[in-house]
Amino acid sequence: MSDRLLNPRVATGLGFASLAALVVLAILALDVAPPDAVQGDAQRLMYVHVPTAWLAYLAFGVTALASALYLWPRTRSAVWDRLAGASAELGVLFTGLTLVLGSLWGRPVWGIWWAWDARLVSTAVLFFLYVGYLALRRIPGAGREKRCAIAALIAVVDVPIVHFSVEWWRTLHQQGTVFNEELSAEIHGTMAVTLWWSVLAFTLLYVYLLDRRYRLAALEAGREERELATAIAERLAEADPDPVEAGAAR
Amino acid sequence: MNLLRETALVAGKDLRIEARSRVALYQILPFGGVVLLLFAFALDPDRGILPRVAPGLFWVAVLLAALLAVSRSFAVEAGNGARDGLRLSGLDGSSIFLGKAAAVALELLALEIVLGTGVALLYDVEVHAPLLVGLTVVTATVGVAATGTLYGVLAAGLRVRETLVPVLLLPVVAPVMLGATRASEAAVEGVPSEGWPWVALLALVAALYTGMGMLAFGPLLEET
Amino acid sequence: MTDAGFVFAGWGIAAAAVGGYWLALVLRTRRAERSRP
Repeated sequence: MSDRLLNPRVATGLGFASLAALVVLAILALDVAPPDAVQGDAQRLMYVHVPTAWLAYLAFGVTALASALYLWPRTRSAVWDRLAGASAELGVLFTGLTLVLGSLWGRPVWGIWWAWDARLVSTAVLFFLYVGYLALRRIPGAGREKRCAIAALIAVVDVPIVHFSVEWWRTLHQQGTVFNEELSAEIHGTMAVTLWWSVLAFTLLYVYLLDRRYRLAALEAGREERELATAIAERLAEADPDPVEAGAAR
Repeated sequence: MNLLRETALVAGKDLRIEARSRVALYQILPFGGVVLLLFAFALDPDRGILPRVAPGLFWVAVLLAALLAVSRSFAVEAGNGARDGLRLSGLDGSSIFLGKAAAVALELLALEIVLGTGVALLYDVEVHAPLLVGLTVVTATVGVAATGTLYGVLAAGLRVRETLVPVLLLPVVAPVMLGATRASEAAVEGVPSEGWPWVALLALVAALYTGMGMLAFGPLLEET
Repeated sequence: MTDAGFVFAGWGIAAAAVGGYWLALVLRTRRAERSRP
């Protein structure tokens, strides 16, 4: 079953489940959950921003794991390569969203569109790591899978280093405690439930999209092979001196 | 042949090529110098910003020059089947990696000495802790050279090599940038105690990427 | 913009991005399936 990750019915079910979960999330986040004591309604963006950040790192982890599995000779398979690529694409989507949502959250709460705090900066670097990886994936040729797999592993080793060094940098230069209030210490009750629900709903969405993206990659790989085979057959047919062949090159 | 001898062999080859072609001397070094000049144009020297941002600008200039140095390191093997020769030479992948990275690092170190002097003079910067600066420069350079060589071989056979390596390399060496700048600032501001922890981070990154390079270079070279 | 404006902008962008990506996947999948013999 290397052309998809999930059984078709499971996949469809998952699609509906994640849609339903997201609708419930919207209701919880935008209506049921109370406004924050300090940040007011703007804090409701947390319920999308946090899960997209979680997915950004999850997707990258999956890409790294799949890359490692590809490189390990005993488990080498096109499945892992395709999975790595699919997850990376989702990763770019969610990392980009994390940055945009972080910006939209920061503006009403702290008056700025961007903050050089550890989390945002690390996420920005993660974004560029992904983009570079996707650029590498587009380059065809022999050894493509191995190249990409190694690049993913080099990058993933870098993620904690970036995170740690930026975090360290910012704590040394702490301007004020405002950025520490991002998640108020007293998060409990409805807000906590909503937050956990958001992580669940988005994770379901991720798995569903991953399966879809993987399926597309398998289909397109198959199509490429068929197009190549057709082209080769056409070239061979041109050389065939069969007089019945209409339109053959002379 | 053992690792050290093979490394010296490869590094010697690259450095000898540089000695004869003088590309780093006549092209990469001036490039670094021009970048420093451009920073002065961009940041109006009369406003007193330059001395404060000098460490950061120095390392940005070094990083950009490193891109050229890495590109050059693999360009020398692009023609005449030189890379095939390398593959067939029987040299261990790790030695080739260490040799090429060492050559790049040495070229960058020479460049940094010149550019560093330039920064001190042009941007009016006083450096107080030479040991800190020295170790910062060495660890940061090793880190950048190792990572650059690793990405260099990854992209070696590709036509898009020159545009690909920068976009892959720069995010990964961001922590090196950070650490080197902070440590250099500590040296300039006369508080070396704040710089040493960053040097430790730089050393960690250098060791890590040297190790990864030693592992991955051979397999990647096979694919180019 | 009021706080609510930012919230709706954020949620709207997230929905549009995810929905758009999903739609693109669906369309591309259909195109790839059509070229199957």
